[in-house]
Amino acid sequence: MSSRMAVTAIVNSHREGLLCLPSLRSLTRARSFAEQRGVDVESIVVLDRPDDLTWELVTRWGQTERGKVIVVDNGDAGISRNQGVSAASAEWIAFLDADDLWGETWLFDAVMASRHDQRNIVWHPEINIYFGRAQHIFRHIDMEDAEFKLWSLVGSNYWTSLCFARRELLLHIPYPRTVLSKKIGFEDWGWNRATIAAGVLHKIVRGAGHAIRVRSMSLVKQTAAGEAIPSPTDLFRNELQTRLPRKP
Amino acid sequence: MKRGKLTEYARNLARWASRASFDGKFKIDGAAKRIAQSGLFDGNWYLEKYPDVAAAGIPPLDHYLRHGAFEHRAPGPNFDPVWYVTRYPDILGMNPLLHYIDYGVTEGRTAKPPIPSFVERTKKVLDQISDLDPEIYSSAAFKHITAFQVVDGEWRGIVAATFGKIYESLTRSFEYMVFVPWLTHGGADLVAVNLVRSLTKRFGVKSTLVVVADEESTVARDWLPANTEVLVFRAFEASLNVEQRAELIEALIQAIRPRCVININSHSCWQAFVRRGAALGTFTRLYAGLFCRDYSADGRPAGYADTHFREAAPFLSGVILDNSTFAEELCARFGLPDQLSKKLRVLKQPIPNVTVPWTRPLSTRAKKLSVLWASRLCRQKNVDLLTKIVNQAPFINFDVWGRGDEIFERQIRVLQGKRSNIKFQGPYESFVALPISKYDAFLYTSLWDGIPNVLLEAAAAGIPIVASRVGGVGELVTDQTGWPITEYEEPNEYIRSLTAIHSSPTEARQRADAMSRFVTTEHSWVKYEKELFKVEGLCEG
Repeated sequence: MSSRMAVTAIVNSHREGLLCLPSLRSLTRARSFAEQRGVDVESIVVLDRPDDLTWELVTRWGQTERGKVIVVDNGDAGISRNQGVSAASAEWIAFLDADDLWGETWLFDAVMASRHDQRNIVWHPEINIYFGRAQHIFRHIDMEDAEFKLWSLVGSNYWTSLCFARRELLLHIPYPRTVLSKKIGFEDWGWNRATIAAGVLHKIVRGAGHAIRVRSMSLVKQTAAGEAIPSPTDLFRNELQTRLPRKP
Repeated sequence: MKRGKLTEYARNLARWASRASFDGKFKIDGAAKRIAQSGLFDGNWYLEKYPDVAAAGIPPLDHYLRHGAFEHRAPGPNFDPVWYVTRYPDILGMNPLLHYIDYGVTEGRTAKPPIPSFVERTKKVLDQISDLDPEIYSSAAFKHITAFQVVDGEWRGIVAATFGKIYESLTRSFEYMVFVPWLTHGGADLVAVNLVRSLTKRFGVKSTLVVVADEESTVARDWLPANTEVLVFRAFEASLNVEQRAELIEALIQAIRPRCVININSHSCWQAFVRRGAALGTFTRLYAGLFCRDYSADGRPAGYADTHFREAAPFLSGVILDNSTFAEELCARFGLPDQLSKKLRVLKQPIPNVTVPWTRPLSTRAKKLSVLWASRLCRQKNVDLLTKIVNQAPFINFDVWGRGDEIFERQIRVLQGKRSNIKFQGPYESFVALPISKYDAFLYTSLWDGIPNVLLEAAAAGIPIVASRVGGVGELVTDQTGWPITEYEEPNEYIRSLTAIHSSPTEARQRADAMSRFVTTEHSWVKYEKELFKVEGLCEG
């Protein structure tokens, strides 16, 4: 097996303006760290209905930092991620939202984790430092930890969208479309549930971390405020169907 | 306990008792039990850590409750009270462990500081990114990252905890979920039961889950087919309010993902339909029962047709009614276009399989007419009107069966004390248990209704019926099948019709027989099930 494993870093961008630069710099740093240790990384930024400032900043970054820039007209983070996946060429995909930050070691640590455990796994960093309008630490839970409860995924999402997953999986199970008119949102939560239903494990990379920016009215908050739910899943129904009948 | 601390404790307890988020639930009774059940108190550990307690020979939990909690002694290795009261100063003065058990867990508070190794790993991540953004490097908060709250993505709170218990208790998934507010021997309950009977007959008893969502009464569980699975929310958590129960319903529907959800009068389920019907309707078919308008004590329309139907209508696959009159009224009142009006399906409820036929021989020679009134004693059934009829018709004997609101039961008892022509018989087990052949006629005085089940039972039994022509009653009681009273608040109109029964026994018999034939055809089980399974989407995958 080659010691160089390819990763495509896919950045979702919309209208972050100057906020996108720290994110892109964190990507550059993480990429550099990984490449110095033998991991090839390509970068793709998916610009979804950007404003002029964001477009200029991202394209300038792309020109200087060897990043491919794709401009799309989706108005949908999940669909934009799917398009980034289609354009990717590496075996593994790492997602970043253009107002969040990667820890320097994230890409490399995720690659190492995937090498040590080659099961069908989506990887998440152990630690998320929330900054901006609110500060706290969000700890990702490993599905194989005793504290994980499958039913909790009905009401809450265990993991952020900035995961590390095989491209093949993402092509097989793409992100669902957000349909706020039908109150269907939270595309990453829906995708997490859909992948688990397909037998995928979600695990953490211990010691790796991201920083997640809390803005005044993020899409997540808008979705929650609009009483949306994630896309429907048979995950729980299927689990219920496996239960043994009670003895009379 | 030192006096000062006791005073402070009592003062804080009073302060907590008044907080809106508190719900008045703080229980000092049973504290020892709650602590013991939490798994956070370790008696042996406590004695080892606090040799003074061991030397004094005091039982460790006793010491902890009386002294240790307020001295901020740790109850065990997994709860750090000093850290907890420092981290959460809003609980000062409270037993920190009890606060954590009763509230902190569901609020996502942590019982002890993060593990030092986790803190170290977090600091390393912070070091990697802190120079990248001013919202980090300019923020004073990030100098004290060890004080940050550590949360995770687990679904918490009382709804989550209740859902978890319910989910773990489920034995399988279901194709149909029927929501009811309670399960008593009432008319709407029977509508739900008829539905469940038909669904389980066709698809098997394992296909359907009955959810008692609002209250805890399930006295009519025996009406359901044997082995029907019934889920009672209050058996898992009695303190949920209607919004929380709605959230619980939404979660259950998402998890079970049934083919159809049918709501027969559950307030919580109507709330769920309004809140998330758009989303739920993308993967399951939502149905609701509506039968008539309902009114508040001060006379305002307050039923679900007025409070919830309009908002939920676009997301419903169907509305099940028991009479055409109300269907027409809904269309007219809300100006329903075709795409919505076609969702309204009238399902005539079936008469019971078992009836006791009315066999009293009518005769003009009988001195006094004997009349049966059997219903719930409440404002809807117009006990006030019944009182007036009794007062104005001393030449008619009335037997009143039923139970209900205390004020109306008392009213009838008082009337019995004053009048010799009324007897209050009290509650009855079922219509077939009533001695209907003792009576010449059945009197119904309701102010508003669909097609009440008791009228269907009286109709099936073949007893002559005098009834207020309200709601859907006129579809059952016509001039050919009984005596409908159009001026339904006029006592004399009822008395006139009862007198007509007395003076024309042949006519009375003919109308009663016509009624019996009518309900045997139009309200048969065969017809009901045929119409039920024509409801769009009910049988489809």
